[in-house]
Amino acid sequence: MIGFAWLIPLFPLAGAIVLGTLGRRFGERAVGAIAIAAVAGSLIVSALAVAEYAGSQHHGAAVAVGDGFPASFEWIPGGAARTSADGIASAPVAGGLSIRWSYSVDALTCVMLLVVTGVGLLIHVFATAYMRGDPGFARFFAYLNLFMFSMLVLVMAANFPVLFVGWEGVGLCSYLLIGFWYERDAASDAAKKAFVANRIGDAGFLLGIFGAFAVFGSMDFETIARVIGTGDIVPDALGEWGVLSVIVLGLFVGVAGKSAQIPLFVWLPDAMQGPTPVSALIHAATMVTAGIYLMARVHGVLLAAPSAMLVIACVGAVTALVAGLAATAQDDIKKVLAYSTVSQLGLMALACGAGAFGTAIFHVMTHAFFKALLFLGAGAIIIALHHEQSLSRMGGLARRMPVVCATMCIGALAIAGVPPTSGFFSKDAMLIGVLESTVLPLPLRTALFFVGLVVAALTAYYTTRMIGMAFFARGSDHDEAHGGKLSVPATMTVPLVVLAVLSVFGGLFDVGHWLAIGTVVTHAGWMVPALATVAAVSGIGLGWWLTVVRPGAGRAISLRLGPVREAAAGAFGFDAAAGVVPVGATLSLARAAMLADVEVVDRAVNSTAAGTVSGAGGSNWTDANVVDGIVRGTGEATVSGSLVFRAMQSGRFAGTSLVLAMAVAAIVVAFGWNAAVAAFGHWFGGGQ
Amino acid sequence: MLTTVLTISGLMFALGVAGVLTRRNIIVIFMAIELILNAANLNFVAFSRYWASIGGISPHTGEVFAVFVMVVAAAEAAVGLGLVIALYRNRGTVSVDDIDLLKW
Repeated sequence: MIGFAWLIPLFPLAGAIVLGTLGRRFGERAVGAIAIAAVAGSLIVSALAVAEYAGSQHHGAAVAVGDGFPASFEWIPGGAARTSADGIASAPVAGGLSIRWSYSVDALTCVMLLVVTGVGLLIHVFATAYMRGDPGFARFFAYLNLFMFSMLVLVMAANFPVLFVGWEGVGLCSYLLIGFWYERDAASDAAKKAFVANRIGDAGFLLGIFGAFAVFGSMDFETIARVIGTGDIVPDALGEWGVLSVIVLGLFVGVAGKSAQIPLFVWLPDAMQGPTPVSALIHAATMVTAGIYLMARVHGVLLAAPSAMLVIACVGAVTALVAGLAATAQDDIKKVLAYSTVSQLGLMALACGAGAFGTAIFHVMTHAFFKALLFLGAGAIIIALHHEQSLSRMGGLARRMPVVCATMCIGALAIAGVPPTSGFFSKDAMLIGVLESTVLPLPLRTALFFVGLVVAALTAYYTTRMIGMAFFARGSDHDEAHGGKLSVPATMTVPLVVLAVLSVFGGLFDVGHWLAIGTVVTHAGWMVPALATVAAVSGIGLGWWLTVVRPGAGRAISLRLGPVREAAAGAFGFDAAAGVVPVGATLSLARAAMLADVEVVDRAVNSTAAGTVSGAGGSNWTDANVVDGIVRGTGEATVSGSLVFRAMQSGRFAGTSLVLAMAVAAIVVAFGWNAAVAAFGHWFGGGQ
Repeated sequence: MLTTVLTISGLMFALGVAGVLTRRNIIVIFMAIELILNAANLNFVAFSRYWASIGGISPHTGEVFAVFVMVVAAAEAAVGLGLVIALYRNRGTVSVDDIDLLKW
């Protein structure tokens, strides 16, 4: 079925087109059925393709999907290749650039395909219940299917341009879905914030792509990997900042935008303004992991730039720590999960920076299971409590919604990394990957390992705090004393149960080992698992004690930590800085531009206008006195001259004929006299 | 002989011109114009006879001219009197002093 893998993104695309154009005419059941069927089609084809790939001899190698339209075709045709005039530069130029739209399937794509389509299907099912009665039901599923299309293009792309189409497509769908309830100011603001933060990242990403094209002469992932494999490209040493490092940093700026790393992570907590299934699918399970996927996809380039990897690891660690601390201070259940996502993405970036790409993808997978589970559970609570998101007003829900409680507890154990859940294996693998990194220098990787442990403990703490406050704390508005069981439809519970099962057993699929990219982690030794377990258990214990056993003590500590807690809740100023720094810079730039406008442009304009006005005054004077004078003078001269001549025109016969007679007489006198004398003089003389 | 005739002719012409210039009645002015034309006729005839007496090339040319002039004068009088009648019907006068439409 690999030959038919090009069908995978087309199902959701068809679904998006049908729902986007005709969706409003269908009922909710039909819309939901179309959307779910589209994703289910993708899942089935994906599963068949993955089965064929896993059973074949291709292990590790990429397989191109099909040949010829629509699986593979020339997308942006180029002209003939040319070299520069001196003949030296053989780097490809735009004339020789020919971009094919093509997919390829390798182990990494297989993992992502199953995660995206599998989790995507469950969330689509859940969303049919969550979005019931919303006037934008069809629009929601059109967007969601469009997102699935973009995400599948992203993970199946065989080259950078196709990947970038998917990358921008998921960004667009993220924007559309965060702002789904656009009549709310907060939602549309959050959508814009996400869009802008992602555009900043995309600028770096594009520069990275251009750099990669300039250096490797191709944008195909396979060709890039082959070029690196030949050894023609000299890798940078640690501490050396060559062009490869710059390329990787450019790509990482894109990763930071999409996968919410410092300093571009600020959009993700705000993105919780979108409907909860969107938060689960896009802002936890799939889209935000696109950056991690990208780093794994081009891991060869990253490994050739260890300086940049060090930066990535450090940024990832700081992100994980900052977001983990921020998550402990949130009151909105979705914000807890959002900061938790940022923190987990930081851990994945840390693992990528350490060179353990396979473990990062492993964590992408397990995180998709348990974070989707936690988000969907939170969505079930939010719907059951009529859009109540504040943790401090929940509590005592364990008896009122037992299935949700049980599945979310499993998700919490998984994200906390309690053995033997999936989270334990993947987090453990990442921590070992950091500790045994061949990229990072020794003291640093030990330090980062302990940061990872602290983050693991924090994760366990804030998740337990969330679960405790929502389900087990007493004396709040929604305690069981205030009502009976809350009904949760099967379309919600089934995905929760399936995800809970995956969260527990997902760790059995050690995809890190199967992918075999970067550092391959083998679970040997007991020290790291033991430390991780101690961290998880202590975090859980602390969280449970402070929220359920002694909630008063928890509140007292919270009060005493006042300013620190405030800072943590605002992610230590990053959120505010994200508003202040770019906005302030833009404002001062605008002020400088205004000053230049007022002082230079306006003055030039004003003086031009003044010059024109005075010139016009002179022109006006000339016109009034010279030109008009000539015109009027002509007229007046004509009038006064005519006074003389018109006096002659009496119109009387006598006067006119007298003048005539006198004129004839004058002519006769003037001309005729001499002639008459000459002709007849002798005769006159002779006659007389 | 010729001198006498030309003198008479000149006097007639002068009388005609004086009549045209001084009289007010269009009919009388017409009559004065006839006088001018006949002064010219007299000249034609006189010179014709004079040329014939000194051996001129074409006898009776002047007489023929005089006849032509008389014909034209008759036609002119017919047209002119028609105009005068039309004028009288329109304006109720034949005095040239009252017919001054051509003035500014």
